[in-house]
Amino acid sequence: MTRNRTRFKADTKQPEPSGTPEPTERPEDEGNQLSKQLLQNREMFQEAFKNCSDVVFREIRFGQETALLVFIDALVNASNLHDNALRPLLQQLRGETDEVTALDLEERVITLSQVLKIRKRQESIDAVLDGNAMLLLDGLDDALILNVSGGTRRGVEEPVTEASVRGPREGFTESIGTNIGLLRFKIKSEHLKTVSFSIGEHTKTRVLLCYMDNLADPAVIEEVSKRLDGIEIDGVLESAYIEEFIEDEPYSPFPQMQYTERPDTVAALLLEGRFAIFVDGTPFVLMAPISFWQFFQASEDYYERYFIANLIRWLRYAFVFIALYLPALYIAITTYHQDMLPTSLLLSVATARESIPFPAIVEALIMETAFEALREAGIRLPKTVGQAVSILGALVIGQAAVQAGIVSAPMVIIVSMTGIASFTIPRFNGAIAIRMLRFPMMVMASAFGVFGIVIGTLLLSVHLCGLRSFGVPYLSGIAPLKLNELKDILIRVPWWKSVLRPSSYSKANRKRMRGLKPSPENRTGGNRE
Amino acid sequence: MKWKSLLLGGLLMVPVVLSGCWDRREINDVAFVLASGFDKEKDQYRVSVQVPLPSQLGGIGGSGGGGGTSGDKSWYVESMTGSTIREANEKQQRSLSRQLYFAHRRVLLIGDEAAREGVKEYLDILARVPQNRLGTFVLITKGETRDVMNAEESIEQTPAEMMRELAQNTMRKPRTAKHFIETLLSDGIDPYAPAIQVVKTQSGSGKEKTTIKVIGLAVFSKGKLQGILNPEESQGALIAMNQAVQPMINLPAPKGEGQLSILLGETNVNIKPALEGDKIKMRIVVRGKGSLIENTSAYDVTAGHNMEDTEKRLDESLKQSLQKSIDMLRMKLHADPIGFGDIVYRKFPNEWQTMKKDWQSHYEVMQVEIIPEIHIVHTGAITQPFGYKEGDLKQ
Amino acid sequence: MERISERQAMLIGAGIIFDATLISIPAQLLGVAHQDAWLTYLVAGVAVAASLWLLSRVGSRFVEVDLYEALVTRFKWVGRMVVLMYTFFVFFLVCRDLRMVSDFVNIHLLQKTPLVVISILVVLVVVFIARGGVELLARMTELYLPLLFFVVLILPLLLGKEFELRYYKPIFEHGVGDVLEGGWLAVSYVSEIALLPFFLSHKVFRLRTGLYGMGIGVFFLTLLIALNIVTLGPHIASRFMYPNIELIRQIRITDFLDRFDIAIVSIWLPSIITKIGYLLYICCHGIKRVTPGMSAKQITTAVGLVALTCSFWFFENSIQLIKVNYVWPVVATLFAFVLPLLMFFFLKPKPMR
Repeated sequence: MTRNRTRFKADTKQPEPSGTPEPTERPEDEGNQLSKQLLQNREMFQEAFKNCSDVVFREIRFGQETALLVFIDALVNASNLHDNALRPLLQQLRGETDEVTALDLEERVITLSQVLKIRKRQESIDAVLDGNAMLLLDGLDDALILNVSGGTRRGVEEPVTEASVRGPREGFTESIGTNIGLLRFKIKSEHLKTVSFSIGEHTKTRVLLCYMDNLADPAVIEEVSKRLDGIEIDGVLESAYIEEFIEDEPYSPFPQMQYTERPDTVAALLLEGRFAIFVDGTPFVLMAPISFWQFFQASEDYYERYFIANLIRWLRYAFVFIALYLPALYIAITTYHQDMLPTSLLLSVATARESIPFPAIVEALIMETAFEALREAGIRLPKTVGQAVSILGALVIGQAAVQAGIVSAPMVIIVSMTGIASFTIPRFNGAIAIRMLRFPMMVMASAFGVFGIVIGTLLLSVHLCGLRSFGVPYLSGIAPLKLNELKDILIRVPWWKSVLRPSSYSKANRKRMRGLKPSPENRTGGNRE
Repeated sequence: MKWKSLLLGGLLMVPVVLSGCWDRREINDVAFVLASGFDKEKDQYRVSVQVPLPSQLGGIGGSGGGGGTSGDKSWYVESMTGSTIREANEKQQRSLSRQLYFAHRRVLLIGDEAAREGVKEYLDILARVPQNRLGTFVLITKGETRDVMNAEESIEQTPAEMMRELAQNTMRKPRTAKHFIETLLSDGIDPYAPAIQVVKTQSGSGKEKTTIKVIGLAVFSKGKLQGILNPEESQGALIAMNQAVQPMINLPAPKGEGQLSILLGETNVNIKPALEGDKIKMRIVVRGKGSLIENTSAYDVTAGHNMEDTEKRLDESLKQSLQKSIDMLRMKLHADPIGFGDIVYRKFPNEWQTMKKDWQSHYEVMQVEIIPEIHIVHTGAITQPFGYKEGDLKQ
Repeated sequence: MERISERQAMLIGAGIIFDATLISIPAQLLGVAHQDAWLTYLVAGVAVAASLWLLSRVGSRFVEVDLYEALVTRFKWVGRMVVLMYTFFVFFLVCRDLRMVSDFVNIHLLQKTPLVVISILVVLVVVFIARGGVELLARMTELYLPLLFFVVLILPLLLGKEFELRYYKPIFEHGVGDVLEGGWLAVSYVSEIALLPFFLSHKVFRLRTGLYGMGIGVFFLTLLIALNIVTLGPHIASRFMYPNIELIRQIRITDFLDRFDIAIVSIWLPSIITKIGYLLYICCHGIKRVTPGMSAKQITTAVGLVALTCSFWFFENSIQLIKVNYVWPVVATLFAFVLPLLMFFFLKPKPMR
């Protein structure tokens, strides 16, 4: 419900509730400053919030003072405002006759944890829009900004897109305060830095750049800060906006940042020396630099026993291959290289295709497109209907089309295998890239057979080899080969074996642990509190 | 810059992809040749191909398919003559709406008449067109090849598949076209291939159909078929080549009436050449393990020294069988499929150079010593024969 | 600036030897040296090691720069001439390999597709690779070459059933002469590794790197040709255009899995195309060194297209590619031994005054 109270403590800069990013001050100019006259201020704010019916102006009196409280109803926590600001003001100061200074109020009266003074007109407006209450006093040209932000937001729930059997069940929400809190709960270290940005001319979205300052590569952090500073846009509604502005190669089908709703994933990646970007208003947190191989690593790999984790990881690699190549290979083999199939299998395929009117490529395109459409329909429909529709659709269309002799049964098998395979990729944005690329592969296969697939793959690899994610080669680990990183690419070694952090991301301070294999001699017993 | 190059590449690709597909052939526009057969008709080659009919093979999509040409058969044999094999194939193509495709040829048949005139001319097409594979089996047919291809009763989907399985079962390490060609090109070793024939089934139901049977081993020399060994001679030759698949040997029971059948589960042949002056001496050691699989006599192999005695008789029988086969090969057929010459060549390359020219004479007179060392390891699940009372057993 | 590690340089070296050689010359080696053909690469390797030693001695005098640059800066005109000669040499290699790959695809994969279409596709990819510079080349190699090596390593297991161990005997049947002749033929391919110091500085390319790279390449070539000998026998193998393809066709694991050849070819194709990528890169790199102010990236496309044309112009048919194999050792000797020897004696940094 309420924003997390640890919200600003981590900031290296002065706390800034308005989220105004830059310390560079505009030149002092009269129209920009608040007046000492309450009346003048009041008019000014009423002009600014003209036709904003949700902005509340509440006039209060204590002693001889007149004060004005401005806030937006839906964004503040009403009881908090009442208990910690209004009540003390009205009750404690009822009998006061002395002049009340802003300092008095801040230090003695108001029982809120965060109170700020602001002199600038625009900043105070921003503060109100950000969910603070503003207290204006007659005779003072400072506005007191009371942090009582609240309002209704979704609570912490299990992450929907990244379900896991074993592992933390909490997921990020739309509230950046909650999100950063979830991360702080995991990493209790002063080295976790959260640098704040406000991006978007109208939305003024809070964006936090998080990293471990003792692990991350300073050059990368510098670079990403620069890129974040350079964004000019009217609004940021999702982290994807940020992603598209700061990625290295905009014309690439492959995502160069990873997103997640899981705090544990963010924590794990931060501890490897990467950075994360939190964006207010979305549960999806961006992370970079990443490598291609990360799309095949699920957080659960690290929580399950490593034998099964390894098996599953290799299963995924096999299925990625299937997702990308299976339809293309089917086309290439049935129309070019019939000698690749064992004779008995070939005759079965030939029998099944005997009455099919379409060439293999057309058949494949029809089925793949139908499959993509079914999936899209399944996602958009309400959850309960969606699954039924997609399963029924696939069954009916597959079965009926085969019996009518319009598509062949092997093709249906191929398409469903491909579909299943693309779902085994844990990272959705990686899966999309693979799904998309199988269509050009199919075209190449139908034009040149396996040679076409090889050419397509080569063009793809040239692209991948040249791609970088924040300076880290995309295929890092395999090309360029880094033996220590293979421990998390080809296999997942047990935790006590992964002594070093991956060298691509973490330049200094690479040692993760002493790396003692569990055994009776290695019990040091230093963890007891 | 990046865009431009991508665009350029893209534009370059467009015509290539659009006009591509030169080699594209849909699977239902291809006639997969499963077997082809070569015969000679005067100076012309008669080439027969066997093509499966997918619409007759059954399956979901098959019901709506086009009609077959030969009733309920799931294959089709086409035969043509031509002055080269390719020409005959082209002629066949003219009457086939589907393109002949040779990559799935399982067996290559050569008629015995044609093979007697020489097989060299048939081997070029085995490798020149990359569709063809050296993993094909070469088989010699007694009679015309198309008769064998048209065998009515095959236990597999097509006769071609049946012939392949038969060929594969004749040898421990099945000899494909690769080995056939290799032996043809080498000195001191001659090619051999299983020989098959079409025969009537003996089902006894009155309706007799034709089927395919392995009749022995066809033996070549100087690229020509010299003769076909009968099954007994073939077995001896195969044992000597280390190629026999679990050969069975029948022994007359040492005591009493009846036979003992002994299966040689493992045989291992070691041929050692020795040079004595300019004479070659071959020493063939056959080691093996056998088991008694049938005993129709009252002879009790378990009693006394009967096991050792049986082994001795077995060795003697094996020795004679091998001797007979080898003598048949060198005296009558003048062929060396076992590769005695090759063994000499690998062992004594320098002497071989002089011996090579008149190898045939050396081959025919060289001393061959056969030393079988067969060990009977068990007698199956029973010891004494089942059908005889205690007193009737011959100890 | 080029940033590649010594390990990458080693792999590039292995690739430059291995990728093209495995289809171009084994048939001729088997034809000349018969069952002793497996020794020929070793002979060639020993010879090329000497060349590498010469070049690394020269390279150590110019630690920071590659040999092209050293030549150009040290001898203004003569240096350029030598660089140009090397560039032409490499250009010819590009054409030859290009034609070889296109021919191969034409013969084995796409019989009816016009040769020129195949060549265009190959050139397209090669240009893309070469434009990416040496880092990209190195990464492509790291991606595909280990995979290819792995496949070659497991070939003995896959083929074990087909072995006829008697084929490799008797050793030195026709004396050492045939083996030396085979070695002479093999030199033209193995010596291509001597091109490495011309685009990699001595910091990356040391003698050790070169020797390891060559060792790996020669080992795998030897393994392949030995497999050819014991599986197919020298008689059959020497009559094929590409004996190695026939070799992998022999793989038969049960009746069902007996058609692996195209799968293995498609693992090899990326490597050979990357190898042509190196050659094109070296070629453009040479032109860049001779004509200052020109960027290697810009000319890559042009040189690639010229190479495409020349690959058709130089070779009328696929048999000519084989015939080149018999003359080429002379040319290779000039570039891998004679010129390095001259450099060894004359190419020294200006004495400091």
